[in-house]
Amino acid sequence: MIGVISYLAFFATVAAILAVAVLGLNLQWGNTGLFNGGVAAFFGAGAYGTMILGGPADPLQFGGFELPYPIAFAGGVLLAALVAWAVGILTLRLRHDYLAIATFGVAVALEAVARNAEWLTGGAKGLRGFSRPFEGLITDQFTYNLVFLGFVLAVLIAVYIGLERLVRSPYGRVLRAIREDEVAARALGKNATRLRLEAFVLGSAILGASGALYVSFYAFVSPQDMAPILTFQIWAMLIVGGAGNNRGAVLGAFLIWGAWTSSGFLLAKFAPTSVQIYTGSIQYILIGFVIVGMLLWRPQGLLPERIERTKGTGKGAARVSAPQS
Amino acid sequence: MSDDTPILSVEGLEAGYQRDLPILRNIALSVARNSLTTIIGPNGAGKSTLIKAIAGLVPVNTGTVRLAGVPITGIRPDQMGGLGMSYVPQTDNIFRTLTIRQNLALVLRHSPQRDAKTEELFALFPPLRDKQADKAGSLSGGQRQMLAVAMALAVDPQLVLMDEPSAGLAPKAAMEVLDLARGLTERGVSVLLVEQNVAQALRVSDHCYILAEGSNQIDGPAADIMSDPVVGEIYLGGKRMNTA
Amino acid sequence: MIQNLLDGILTGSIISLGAIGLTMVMHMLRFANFAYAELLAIGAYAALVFDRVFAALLPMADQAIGPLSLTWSLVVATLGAMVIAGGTAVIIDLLVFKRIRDKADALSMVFASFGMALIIRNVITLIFGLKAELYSNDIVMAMVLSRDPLLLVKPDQIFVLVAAVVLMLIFHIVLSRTSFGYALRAVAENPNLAQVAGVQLSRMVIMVWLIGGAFSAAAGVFYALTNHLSPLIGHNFLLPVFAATIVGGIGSVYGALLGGFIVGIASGLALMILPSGYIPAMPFLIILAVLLVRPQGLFGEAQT
Repeated sequence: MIGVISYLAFFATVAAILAVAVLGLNLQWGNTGLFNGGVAAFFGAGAYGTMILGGPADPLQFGGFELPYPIAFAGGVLLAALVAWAVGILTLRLRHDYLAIATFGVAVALEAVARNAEWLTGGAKGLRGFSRPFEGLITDQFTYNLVFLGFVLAVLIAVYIGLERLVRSPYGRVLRAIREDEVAARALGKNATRLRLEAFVLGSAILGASGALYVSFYAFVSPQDMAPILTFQIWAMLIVGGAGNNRGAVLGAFLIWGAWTSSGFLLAKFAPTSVQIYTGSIQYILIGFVIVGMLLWRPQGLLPERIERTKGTGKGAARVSAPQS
Repeated sequence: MSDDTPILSVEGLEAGYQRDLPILRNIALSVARNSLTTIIGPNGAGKSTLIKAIAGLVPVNTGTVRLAGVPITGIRPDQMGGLGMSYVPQTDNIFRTLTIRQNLALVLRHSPQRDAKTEELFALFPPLRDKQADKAGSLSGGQRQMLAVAMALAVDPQLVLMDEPSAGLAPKAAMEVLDLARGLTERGVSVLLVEQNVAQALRVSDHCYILAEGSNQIDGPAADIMSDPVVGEIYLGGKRMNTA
Repeated sequence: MIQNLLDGILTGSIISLGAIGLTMVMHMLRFANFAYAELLAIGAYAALVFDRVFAALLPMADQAIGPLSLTWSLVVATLGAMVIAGGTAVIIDLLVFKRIRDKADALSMVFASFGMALIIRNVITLIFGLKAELYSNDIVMAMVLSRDPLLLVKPDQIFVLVAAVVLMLIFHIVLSRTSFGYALRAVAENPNLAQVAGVQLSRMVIMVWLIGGAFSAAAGVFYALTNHLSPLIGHNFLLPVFAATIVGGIGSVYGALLGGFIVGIASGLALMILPSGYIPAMPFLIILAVLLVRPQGLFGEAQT
């Protein structure tokens, strides 16, 4: 019994961490119509930032300042926000397809840095060892995992509530207006650019927070965690759940992560040994089909966006509105 | 062979770039064979949009467009040539990066007598022959217009649609291009044109339609329109015969 | 340094071939196609299959041509691969991208292309395995062009460069002397006017995919001939090919050709100052530089 609960806690923790990331992406794409093709870069910045600030000291490494957890966490988030600010200033005024390529390129470049700058990031072998929050206080591993899950859920709920309020506020409406109407956005001129930048930075900060939580959980980070597959996974979660919709974002995270882990589990259990090294490939193909299939069948996602102007709250009254380019 | 069916007839046309925001409402129009018909009207009347809707460049909600009796409502623009119709846009009506010869070769690409037809067009427009290896972007305004008309004639159309052919041209060149349009009718080609240059256009027209705010106002023989005081009022915004 | 330059020119020619089709597709459909570079992998592996089949059917064809490791069988196989890649590109557009752009917006096509790239790359991995392959196990000695500085060049590399340039010349002739070429240029300059001039856009889209696929397949084979085959070919060329189109200006074929060489040479020369692990980031730096200084690229139109 404890084994099942333990496993479910593990699953829910990772799903919740990824859900935070999807919420961040939703702010950028679903609400403001910004195409972030380099999600992994900001996630990784948060993860590495937190690790460098809070990790154990190592004479060969820059970092390992062993700072208290809240500072390390905030530092990771801040690093992600700074990277987003720099990238945003350079690229946000571009047309969507250019922005997609540019942000994708950022992720490739940062992954290359992570892989090669050994003195900073530990290179390909990554950085490990991290004192997790509350770890000293709770000795029992099982209880600790549940407490950590609670911590992650608390962060998720806080981000969710914060974003829901943002979306319904006048600020959120302006962001949606910019998303819907490129021409109106240009008419707003400088303001639109600044608003886009703010949304991009805030969304990336949330992505960084997800990365910080991730490294807190695994106590390990490597360039693998910044690979493009992560970007695709987060995108798949948002596309399946419903872009422009915070509930959809969270739903998508749990669904896709569930599909990913169960497919991995089934393949590990039932696939012949000779095929075992290819389980990754099979999973990638599956997620590719999920992305394409969803876009062909229901591009607005499972939970379509609801504009609060609609009277009545039943799901049937929901007005579908796919993000326009 | 005398044929009374108009070469072009439009009935009840409603069209616009967005389905729920039509620019044209309930348009009716007809062009007699071998005639030159002009559409005039104040700015924003939808004159260009009407021509584009006939050509298939603007979506049509309801109504019919018939070419020599054959319904062609909502065709794809690339089907115009095969049906015997051509369209000369107001701006960007030639390919600047291609030479004159290449522009013509493009419109003639499916024609079996490409070389013969090219010769015919050069005979009709000698200045084009002289500059045939020059890129169209390097031509003067009047020469570009000439090339655009040549391209329209290359497919041996029964009907040519022209959007403000005299726009941006010096008065002499403007007169020449309108005279050219008139000359087409003497060769069995009918012309429907949109013009802002009212006096010049009416001089060469047989029939005239006035459009304002997306619908028909009045129409009649060009000579009558020229002397009708109502026309001035429509232009100044006072009088409207049909409210949308 | 000259060795780096030579290698850069070679890589650049491969990138250029890949970029030709992408620049046309991106311009016509307004669509950053993240699956495009996988056509290089499809081409390379299709050629591998055809090559093995022909060589088995007709052992005589499996002779290396002169000093190259290229066999007649591989030459024919490459032609077959060009057809396969072109056809695959058309089919994917009809089944996936076209349906999405009719139903949803242009940006959804970009996501779908992410998904297609994952599928194609990993299907290739499943079928052919992860390990690198070669067309031929012959050992071909590099020619020493000079001893000091040491310049080595493999005969295959010279062949690839010449073949790439020949393909580019053929395309140039099509664009400058055939009415089909004029139609392609017309659509790039003004799609509405092109339609008015009698060009059917949907047919042109198919032609662009066919041409792009064919050139990309050739690029893939050329890369595999001078390096090796790997399922990651598409992934490795994605950013360089995007960079080439951006440098040249999206929509300009000549820009893409020039851009490919620029990206290749810049990456090659960068090896002199950067550790090789950073080279994948070079195309990104180039893209950034172009977007900062001249966003429309060398020959593109100003942004709308």
